[in-house]
Amino acid sequence: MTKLMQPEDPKEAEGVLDEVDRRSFLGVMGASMALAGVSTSLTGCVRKPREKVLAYTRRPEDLVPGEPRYFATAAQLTGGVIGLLVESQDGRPTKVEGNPRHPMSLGATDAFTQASVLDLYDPARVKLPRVEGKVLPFSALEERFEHFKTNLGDGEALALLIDGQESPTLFSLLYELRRSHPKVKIYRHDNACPRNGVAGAGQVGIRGTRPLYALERADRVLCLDMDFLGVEGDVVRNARHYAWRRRITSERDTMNRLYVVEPAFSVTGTNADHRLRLAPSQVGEFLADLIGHMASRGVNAPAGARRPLHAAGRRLPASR
Amino acid sequence: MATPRVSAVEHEANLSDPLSGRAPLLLGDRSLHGITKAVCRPVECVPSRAWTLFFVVSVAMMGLYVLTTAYLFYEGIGIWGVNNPVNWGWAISNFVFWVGISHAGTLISAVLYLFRQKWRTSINRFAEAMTIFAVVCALSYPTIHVGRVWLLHWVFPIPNQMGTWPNFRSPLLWDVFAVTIYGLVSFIFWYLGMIPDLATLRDRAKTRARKITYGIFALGWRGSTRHWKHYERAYLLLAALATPLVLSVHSIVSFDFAISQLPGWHTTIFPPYFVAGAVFSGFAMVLTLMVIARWAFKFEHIVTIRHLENMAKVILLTGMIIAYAYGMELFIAWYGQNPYESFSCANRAFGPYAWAYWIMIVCNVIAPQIFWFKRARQNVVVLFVVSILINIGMWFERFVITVTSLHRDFLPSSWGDYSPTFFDVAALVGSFGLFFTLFALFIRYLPMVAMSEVKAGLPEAKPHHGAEGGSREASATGEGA
Amino acid sequence: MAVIFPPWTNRVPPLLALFSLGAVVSGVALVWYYFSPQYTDVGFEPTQPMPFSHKAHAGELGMDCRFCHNTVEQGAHAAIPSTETCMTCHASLSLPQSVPLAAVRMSWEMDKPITWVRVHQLPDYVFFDHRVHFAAGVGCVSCHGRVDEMAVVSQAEPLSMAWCLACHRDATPNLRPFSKITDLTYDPQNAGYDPNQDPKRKRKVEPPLHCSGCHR
Repeated sequence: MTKLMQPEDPKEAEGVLDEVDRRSFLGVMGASMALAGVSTSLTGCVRKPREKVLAYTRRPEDLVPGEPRYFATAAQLTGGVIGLLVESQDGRPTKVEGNPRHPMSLGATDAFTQASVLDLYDPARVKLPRVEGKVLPFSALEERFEHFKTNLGDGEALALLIDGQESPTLFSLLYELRRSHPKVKIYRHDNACPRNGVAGAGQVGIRGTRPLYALERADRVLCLDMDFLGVEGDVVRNARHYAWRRRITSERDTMNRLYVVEPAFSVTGTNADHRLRLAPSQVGEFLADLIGHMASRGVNAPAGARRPLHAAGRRLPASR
Repeated sequence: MATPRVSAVEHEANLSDPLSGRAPLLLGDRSLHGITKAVCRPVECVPSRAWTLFFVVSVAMMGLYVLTTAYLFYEGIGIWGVNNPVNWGWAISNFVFWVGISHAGTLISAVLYLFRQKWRTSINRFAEAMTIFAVVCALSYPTIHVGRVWLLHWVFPIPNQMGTWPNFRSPLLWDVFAVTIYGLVSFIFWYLGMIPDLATLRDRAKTRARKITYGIFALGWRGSTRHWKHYERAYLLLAALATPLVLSVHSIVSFDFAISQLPGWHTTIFPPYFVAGAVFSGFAMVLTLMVIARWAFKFEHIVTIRHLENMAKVILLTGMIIAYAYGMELFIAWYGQNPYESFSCANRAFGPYAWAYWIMIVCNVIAPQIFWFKRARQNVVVLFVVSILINIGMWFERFVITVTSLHRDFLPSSWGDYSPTFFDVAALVGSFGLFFTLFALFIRYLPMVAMSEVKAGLPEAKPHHGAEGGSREASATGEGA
Repeated sequence: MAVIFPPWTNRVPPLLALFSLGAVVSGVALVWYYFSPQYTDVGFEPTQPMPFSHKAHAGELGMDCRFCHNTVEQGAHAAIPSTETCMTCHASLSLPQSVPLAAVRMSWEMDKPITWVRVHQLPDYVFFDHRVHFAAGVGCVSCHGRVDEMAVVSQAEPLSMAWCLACHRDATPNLRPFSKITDLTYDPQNAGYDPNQDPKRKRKVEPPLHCSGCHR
């Protein structure tokens, strides 16, 4: 571990190297303290360790050594995207924060994104391409790709497994690949992807999308077995929007209410104004009951939601 | 050795002081030579088995101190029981304890000298030596408890390249000055008073090595009238210089606590209370050691029951002051109506450390009351037992003050407890080892009673004495020449 | 019996006392001076990998400090210029083939940095920022000395804490007009400069004196 970490020595990151490292220097200094007076008169100088300064040969135009630079970027997490500002010290990313101008971040991040900067310094991180366990230089890799491409044919023998990314660039590349090699098989698999959300959107007639919750406009929030403030997709944005509706700045402001029905403990549940613990099998019954209750009081579900609600109601026993 | 002895008749005639009618300061062989012989005997004879045993045990205890200190420097303050919120533990208790012990010496030698209390002459050397050794022990604690001992010189205002100075508004810095100056003045005072006696030892020395050694430290004392004149003047000046120190040192030590804002510490009564407590504990310690020493070295005729009784009286007086201070703390806590202050007092008396508080009360307030009785004051066993109890009680007083005020912070969330570790105990035991080692060396190599001063207190030394023709020897160093 | 202590020994104790006193005082004084950066650090003049002359560039040619150390206004460091900065002039203008320039050319062609030896080095626990000192109108010369007269750069000031504090306690003698910051020959005392009368100064210079001003 120590050995692996060595290239990331912070001294090197600053572009400054010690000729003698400080610890051994101090050790020698301590031992020869009595001789210090003599050595001063001999060498003319008892000084701090000699440091070397390595100047750039070509300094990037907007780089001021020792000053942080910020780069806007984005990361993907649990099917959602979050906009980030990454602080870079002399070319080394050191801190990840949310981009205040990105709608999915609004200036905040979650714990995973905060920790993601450590990925860059992970000693196990792959630094060079590997083929069949062997490390190859990039030039050799290109050769291999050329070879691979010529033998690909219509793509019958190729299958791709990709995660739940939503990158348009990736999609266009996949589209191109499909066009040139029509028989390529593409599989997507991602546990963190909100598949049920996408399916739900499809049921109400909006195919290929996933729900985004407008919590900043909700006065009453009913949450059925979902941790929208904790771990399930878009949590940063959700938490911000949810909190906005709880902020009282004038006497006319009101607060939202959060009702949570869930079988286990979650971040959302701990924030709830009212929390009901129910077994997962009973959550559906609760919903059906609620719909019946609302209907009896003359409250109708929104037009788009009527179909799935009815679908849910049909599947549930009428007795409840 | 044939010595001119005072005849039995003369001896009886001189038993009571002709002017005051009080009991005599010396009993038995009161001739000048007899005194010299008695005092010099422990220094000049082969050390007894008891002394050797005492010395070996003391050095072993001191070795424990050296080892635990070495480990402390290696490992850090964490080996002690101190924690947050009890940042001060035994180290400060021991420091205040030893500084307190050291007070008796200066009081006896300086204050009683200025008040011409002749009875002090038999015990002042002993008490002064105790003062210096106690100051050494006391100073060892701030030295080691700073943690980074190699930066200790920062407590002194030494010019440096950083342009920084110690915080002159901190009582901890005043402490540095107060205790250092006190130790220095006490040492000079002790050494100065010892010069004529060192000369006596030099003149009595049989071997060349002893002659040279004592000769160096006697600084060429010949006992001439001019020497005596300068000596007396210097002694008087030093006594005058040392007297305010008796009051100042422990006042400033009390500021360590009183300047802070902690309930139980932040009281104006602390300085006088600490000074009285210091004299109280100091006299108790002198008494403890004196009772042993006079018996072990057969000084009963020089350190008489009257001396011991006088010390018991001082202990009774200062004990009453202490009792008053304890009472006044409780009264102010009730009368001041400060909830924190009253909580602090109640916590002392009935909290987790109540046992320590009641030990303190029993030992410091109740035990010395027995000295109201003359028979108790004249009973060596009672004196010894009570002095030991007072030593214990005064150590617990410092423990109670330090720990009980700290362990219950203003916020209950910051409350904590304190328990000493092995290294705390080792440091306390070790400091006693240091103290006793120095003491053993002192009684082995230096005159433990101020011979010249005792002689000057004899009836024969009075200008109008001797119409019937007493001893004419005027010089204290007359014997060996 | 032979005399152990002849009469002259009477003089030993007072002399010894005097000597001890002198030893303590001189000991403190010796450490004070010889262990201070004033003695150990001033005049530090390491041999650099190539004979770059500040005297020629800043002195004789009269180049502004900021031409090369251009980050002084924006950053904590007044960075050592990149090889590119040297080559801006030396690639074509003057002395492109001279021997002393070999190290620069080599660095440029092989894309390897020149390893300079650091002259002005503060401890790691000190946070020094060129930017704020520049903005306050402290001249380069106040800390770095007459660099325009140095063929080889050496340390001119002790850079000790007491030295820093001297200016932080009273900065006025070291303040100058903003236009003269890099002018190494300008002397605010001789010029009769009064920072309080300078209309270009928007606020009073109040350097921090608390510990965390520099030890953050």
